[in-house]
Amino acid sequence: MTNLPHFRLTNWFFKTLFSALFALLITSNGYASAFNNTHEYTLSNGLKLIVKEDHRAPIFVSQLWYGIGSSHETTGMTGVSHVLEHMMFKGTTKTKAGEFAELISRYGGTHNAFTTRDHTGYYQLMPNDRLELILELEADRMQNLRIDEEQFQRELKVVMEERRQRTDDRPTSLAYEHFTAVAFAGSGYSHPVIGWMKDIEGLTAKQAMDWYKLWYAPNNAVLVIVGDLDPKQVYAQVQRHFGSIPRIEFPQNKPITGLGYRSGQRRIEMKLKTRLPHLFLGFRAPNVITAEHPWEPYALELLVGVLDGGFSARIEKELVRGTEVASSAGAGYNLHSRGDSLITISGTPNLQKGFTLDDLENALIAQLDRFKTEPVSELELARVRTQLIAAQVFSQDSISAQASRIGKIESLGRSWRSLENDTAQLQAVTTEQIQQVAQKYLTSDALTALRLLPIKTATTQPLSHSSL
Amino acid sequence: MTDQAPLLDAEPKSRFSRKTLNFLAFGLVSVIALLSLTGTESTENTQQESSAAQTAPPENAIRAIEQISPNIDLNWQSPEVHHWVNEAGARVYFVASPQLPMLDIRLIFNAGSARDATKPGIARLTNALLAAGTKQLNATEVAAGFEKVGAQFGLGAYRDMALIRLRSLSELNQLMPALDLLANIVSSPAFPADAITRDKNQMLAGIQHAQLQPGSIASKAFYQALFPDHPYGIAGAGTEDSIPLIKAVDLNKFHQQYYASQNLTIALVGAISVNQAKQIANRMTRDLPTGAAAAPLAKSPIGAPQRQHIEFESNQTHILMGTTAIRRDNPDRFALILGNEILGGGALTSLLGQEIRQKRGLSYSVSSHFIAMQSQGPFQISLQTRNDQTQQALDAILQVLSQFVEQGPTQQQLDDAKRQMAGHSLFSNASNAGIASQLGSVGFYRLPIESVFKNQLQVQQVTREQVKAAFQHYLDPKKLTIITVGSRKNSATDAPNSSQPDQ
Repeated sequence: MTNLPHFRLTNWFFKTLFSALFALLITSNGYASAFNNTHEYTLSNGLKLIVKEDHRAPIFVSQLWYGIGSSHETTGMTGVSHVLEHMMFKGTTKTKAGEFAELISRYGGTHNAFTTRDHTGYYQLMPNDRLELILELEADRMQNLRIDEEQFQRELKVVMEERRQRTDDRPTSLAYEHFTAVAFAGSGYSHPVIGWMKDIEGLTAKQAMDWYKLWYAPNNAVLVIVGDLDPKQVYAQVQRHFGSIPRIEFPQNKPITGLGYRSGQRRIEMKLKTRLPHLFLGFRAPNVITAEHPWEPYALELLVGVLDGGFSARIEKELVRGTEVASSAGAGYNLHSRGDSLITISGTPNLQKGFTLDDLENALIAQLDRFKTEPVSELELARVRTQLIAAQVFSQDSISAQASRIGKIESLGRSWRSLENDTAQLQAVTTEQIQQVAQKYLTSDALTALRLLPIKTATTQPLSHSSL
Repeated sequence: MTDQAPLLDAEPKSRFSRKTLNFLAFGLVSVIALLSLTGTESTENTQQESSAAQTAPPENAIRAIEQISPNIDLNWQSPEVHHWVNEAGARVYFVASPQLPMLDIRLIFNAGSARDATKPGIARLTNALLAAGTKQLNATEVAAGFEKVGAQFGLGAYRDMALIRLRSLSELNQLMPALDLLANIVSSPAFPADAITRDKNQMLAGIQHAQLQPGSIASKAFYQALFPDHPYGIAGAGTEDSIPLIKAVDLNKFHQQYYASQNLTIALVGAISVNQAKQIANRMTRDLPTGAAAAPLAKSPIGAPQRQHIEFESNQTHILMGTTAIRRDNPDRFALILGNEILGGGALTSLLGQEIRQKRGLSYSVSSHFIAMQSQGPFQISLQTRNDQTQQALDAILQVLSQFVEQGPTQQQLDDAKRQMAGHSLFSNASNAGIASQLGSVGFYRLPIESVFKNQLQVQQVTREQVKAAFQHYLDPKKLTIITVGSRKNSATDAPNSSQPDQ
């Protein structure tokens, strides 16, 4: 697949901060809530259905989210969720291999699927007179999947190509995979979503089938439909197709814990075939789902926004321009995930100006320390809040983005309605609270640091990249 | 998950962005699987034809297809497209979209890297430095000016186009400051010395980075092979030799010549009136340089096919093959794009997807495209495969392509592809972003405004014979340029998990 277009704006910011600030729109724009016309249903077998009306064009998007991802996997069989996602297109007792894709294409739709640490999702974009087809196909593969051994082996080869393409031939991706593995050591978040290569090689059709039987069920799924449809009719159709699928008992969804927040500093140095050195710094921290103190994630969210919420934020202003110690740098934090998040700061030193990885790390750490001693300005906070409000309006332009926000939070076991509370939570954060979370989580004994260095000369020792 | 426009495969997705590495780090959480089809083993699609709705379905078949007509209603009440040439000579396109309180605006100058001439990189550097400030404002003040009203601002320069994009709330006290700032930075960039040095350094870093990306190496070699003495052969990212030579005077000159109002297309989509759109367009061009539209580019050559291998230590070999094909305004494009949908376009139900991925498991992604531009752009097929499978993949591609060119599509394939494209068209018309993107292309390539919402009417008229004739006219499978970048040395080892290269 082609890369997403990258504009100069920090897209991650709007992606990770999606969940915020709707009520404000009423005051700032005379614009009603982003969740107007949203309807929620739960079937007796536990399937959650959320329908959001958007009548701008005669189409809809359907997203079926299963609460299963790479973080649920165990050592030795990483990647099984993702391979299963591929096999979901390879036939059921009602359809032959490939028929799913063939029918969607024939009926003018677009579709795909994704696997993350927390979820596996399947989506289709279709003209609005053919929901029936989607529901029948999705209900079918929720219960009737077949996995043929030969098909499985062939698909495994495709997944290995996918891994080579995405990770093994990309030094920065490979480094990030190792960085994550160490930062989340001892938890399911240490697994790469696609799986370690050796694990992928060893997966069997039976393992994939067992995984399917264990997790694919109406009571572990959320169906989100956004578009030009009548919610009552949608509900009736969903009831008809999914209503008789039995619920299952699946394993307790244990929270992801792993090591404590301040479990000692970890440093990794990787040498790969790259021209540019790169630095990753990570600090584990709670998010909205895992937090003991509900205000802390919102304070962290604003902190990261002050640091890198655009081209007037501190990293760009002071480190990329300013001292020019960084050729590029950025920061990120995920407000919603099943386990703790990682506040990640990364960048490349400006070699032309003679700066080193040491210089860059010192500059970034100094920026973090500044949050501990010096309150952020009201001006900076106002900017971050305004950007969040605007981003909420902008996200309404895409029916897929609307569905994703709902599906993600719902499949983590929280109501989409809780997204509306985020507004007040973000507004309530004080500059002192931002100082407090900096002091609590951005500490040297919580740091994971990875340095990616170019290999200068040929060595005879190959570097394994499928295990640590 | 973006809604993609079907006919807009005009420009490669290479942009100068400081945030690229960042995205690598944070953006790849989800692993999106491309889709699958293995049902029909043969490219003679008798099986597919029998699976259409006309025959009685077996006991277990999907019932919904008995109730739904696969045909897509193309008479959707699409919004009106307003078009005018403003007082300064800019071509303006506007669609009112009152439902959301926002405005998308795109300024597209005919100022891409095809205009770089002797100093590759000028177009991108000029475009990037618009954000570096005016005589009154420095870079931070420019960024803060947009960000404090919540506006999103983006820049990009490609082979044909230089693009400036703004998305803002439409309430006037947020919109007006953003628009004023936009007009100022595009009209009166200061090109400050420190910013020039900084952005040149970043471009040099980008060039170094690209030298270790097999995909970038292949793409560069492909365009150089296809367009040896043509502006499309220019490396838009610049070279290690050219970047240091670029001076402020070059940038000012480039800006004066190409960022002229007569060389500009403006696309607007949002919750404003036609009158407001007119005022905004006039504000955008008020202080721009005046000058002429850029001269047409020379006709692209169709040179002798080349076979080039670039040794590179990686696990996979990147294959890029193709030839010079069509301009954006070529009337054969409907037949070619429809045929390409069947051959190797979007979905993996394509012939190449079936053969390369589904049947042989050779690659995660394989696709083909017509990149139709101001001058004749390439047709290209690309894929990545484990090094030792390279020849096998090349043979398989050529076999599929030759057979398709020789025989053309089946009626079933044609009908399916038409519905797929009709669907794509609906999706890309469903968002302000999608409509703005189409308006920009239609304006830039001077296509009839009907083609914004109605291009499907022409696609739907295309016949099997037209697809076959067009492919035979533009593609000779024996005369394709083929670039491979990967390791022949590594391909001797059959280890699927070969180790990271050591130098």
